Amino acid sequence: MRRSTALIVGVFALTAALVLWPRDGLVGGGKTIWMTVWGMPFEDRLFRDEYARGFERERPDVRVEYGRFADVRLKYNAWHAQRRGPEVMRVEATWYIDMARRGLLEPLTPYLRDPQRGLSPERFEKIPEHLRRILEVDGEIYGLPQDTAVFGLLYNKDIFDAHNAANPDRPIAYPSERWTWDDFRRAARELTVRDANGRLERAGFGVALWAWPFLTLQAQAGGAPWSPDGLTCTVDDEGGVAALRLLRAMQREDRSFDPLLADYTSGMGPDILFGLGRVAMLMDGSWRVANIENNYPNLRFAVAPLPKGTRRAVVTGSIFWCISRHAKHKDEAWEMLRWLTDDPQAARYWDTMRLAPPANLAVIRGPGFRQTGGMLKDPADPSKGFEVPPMSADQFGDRAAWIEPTFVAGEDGSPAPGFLPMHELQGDLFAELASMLVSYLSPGSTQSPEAALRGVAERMNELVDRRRRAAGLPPVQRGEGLSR
Amino acid sequence: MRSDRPSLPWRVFAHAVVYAAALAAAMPLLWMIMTSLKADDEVAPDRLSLWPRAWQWSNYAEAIRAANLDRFFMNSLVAAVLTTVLAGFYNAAAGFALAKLRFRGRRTAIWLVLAAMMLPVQASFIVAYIIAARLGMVDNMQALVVPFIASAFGIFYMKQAVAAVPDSLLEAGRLDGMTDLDLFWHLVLPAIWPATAALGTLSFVNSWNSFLWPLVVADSESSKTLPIAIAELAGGVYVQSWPVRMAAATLITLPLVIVFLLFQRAFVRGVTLSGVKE
Repeated sequence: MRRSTALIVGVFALTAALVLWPRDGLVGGGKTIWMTVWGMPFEDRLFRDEYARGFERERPDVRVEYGRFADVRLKYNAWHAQRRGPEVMRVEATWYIDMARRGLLEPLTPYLRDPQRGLSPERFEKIPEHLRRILEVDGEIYGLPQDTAVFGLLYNKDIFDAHNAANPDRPIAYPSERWTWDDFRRAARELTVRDANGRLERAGFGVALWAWPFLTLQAQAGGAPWSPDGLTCTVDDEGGVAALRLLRAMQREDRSFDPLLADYTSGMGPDILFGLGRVAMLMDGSWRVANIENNYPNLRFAVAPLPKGTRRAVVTGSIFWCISRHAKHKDEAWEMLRWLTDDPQAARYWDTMRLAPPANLAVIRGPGFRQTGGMLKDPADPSKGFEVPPMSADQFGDRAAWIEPTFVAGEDGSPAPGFLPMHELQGDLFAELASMLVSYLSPGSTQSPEAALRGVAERMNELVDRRRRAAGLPPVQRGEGLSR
Repeated sequence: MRSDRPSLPWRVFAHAVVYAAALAAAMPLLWMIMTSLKADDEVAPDRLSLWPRAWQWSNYAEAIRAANLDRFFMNSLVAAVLTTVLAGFYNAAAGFALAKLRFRGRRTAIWLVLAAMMLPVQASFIVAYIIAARLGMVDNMQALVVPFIASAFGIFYMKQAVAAVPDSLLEAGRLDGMTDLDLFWHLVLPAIWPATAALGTLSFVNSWNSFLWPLVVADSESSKTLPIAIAELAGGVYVQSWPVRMAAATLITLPLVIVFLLFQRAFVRGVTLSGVKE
């Protein structure tokens, strides 16, 4: 054979070998169930090493195949197109209704109601009430909540103490759940420091520009992002306008808030300035607390419940454990879901990660919630430090005591302040709100709050109508001249 | 006698423009390297500086540990090398066929290649995924290599390069009794070597940096690649650490710099000769 022919045959052989090489599917035969999550690499130590391996010990006849993905929602959609899916899938609340309606999720209602294998009423009532309210989509429940992240007010104790020492005539108490918007504005104003040229040295208040702060403030001012039937976006109600007015007043009148236009997940947000002592109060989620402890171990800070507007309201998030409609072993998947949300596993979630309280009131009210063990970087070498620092019982008051009031009704009979806004288009609404806030709070913006919010509402309503048209339904008739 | 050399002010201006453009192009790379050597608190959004306060070399060890870079390095390397070798061969072979062989449907084939070049990748992405899934090319090395061993751009690029090879050379070969395979291997490939090297470099870079396709087709740890490992450093609601992410990005950029340095002459010549720019 000529050399050229031999070489070309060699290339073809290489290609054939590559194409025809035997492929192993991810999930093998027998009782292998597939568990998928997203998160940081170190989170494998809980999800894989404790949860997946722990369930295998519970059910020795079942093997759990574990996968963590940078963009797990994209994977869910890709697998759905192939008519396959994981037995156990982690789903963000923002995606929940959309995924349920598009047929990605298996209804859990039959399992929940099963007298032998279902959840007892006592067990179901451990789930905070604001989560129980939103689990049902078109008459079916598709997931069991794993956690419920909470929005709070982080504050730098050294800054408050230094201010009070320097200004004994006008002291500022640490933030508390009794604070109103006026108390909050006043404190932010007082704690702001500018140099002789007017350059900001320390802002009284910082928050990343994304949907949560807006939704919180809107709710505190009596508003809601959607009409009760979910057909009309109402971000431009009076509550929404009041929320934007507050932010702009703090930015331009008080000059205590200097918004950074970075995306929340850019890692360049106001949390860094808070960690460096250049922001006195930071509105952020429960996941930020351990992160700041780790990055700024010398920072003396605490967290308080959010101040109230005309009423108390705290936006929360949640992550659900769900089963794919295409999962092969749904009975085993249900067993694992039930096991994952049981007290010991829920307690381990808080004990190791401390990102968000588990969606389990028994754990939140139990002794394990008051101190945590954290997670070492390398269990074989503790000298390398922690990925998630532990929380001692002494630290509980400053770092985690603020969480429980989110789930407790007021003494005056008012409902618990925690709420979780849910809608099929919630992801789109989040993106619209983040973009609107950046535009509205840009230094030269002359946009009125009404116009900024009307634009968001109109775009969302158009999306609602587009979905209805796709389903063969007429567009919603909304009042003339109004977005709703 | 009038000199052809440009005047001094013109040369100073031209150099200034070139150096400014080079600096602008190098700045993101420089920023990445410098950030990779900073402490976390030096990347505060309101007080950015290029130079690190103290050089944090430990960020590199932390990047390898946190993102498991060592585990995913081989996946990226094998996929990139196989893609480069096979894409070089198949695109050149198809280019040779379209440029120098006469067969029925040749014109249609050229039009199809041109039409495919005009189609945005995003438009064919879902269909490509479904086909790959039906062929079992998901979550394995095949998924990372096979879809890229021939491309419309690569075929057109090599067709343009082969078209520049004189027909008389091929006729001489045929008179000597060479088959089409001999012509391709012994005469065409050596003549278009710079274009092949340029396409190989582009294929390597594309495969090495590829993010969206591996993100969709790689399900298990055994088929994940380096860009996905870096993306996972920002999983969930907060970023692990910008310096650590930049250290990881610097580490995965190094092989590209080495490949480009090795092939830069051939790359520049190949791009110049073919007259095609991706």
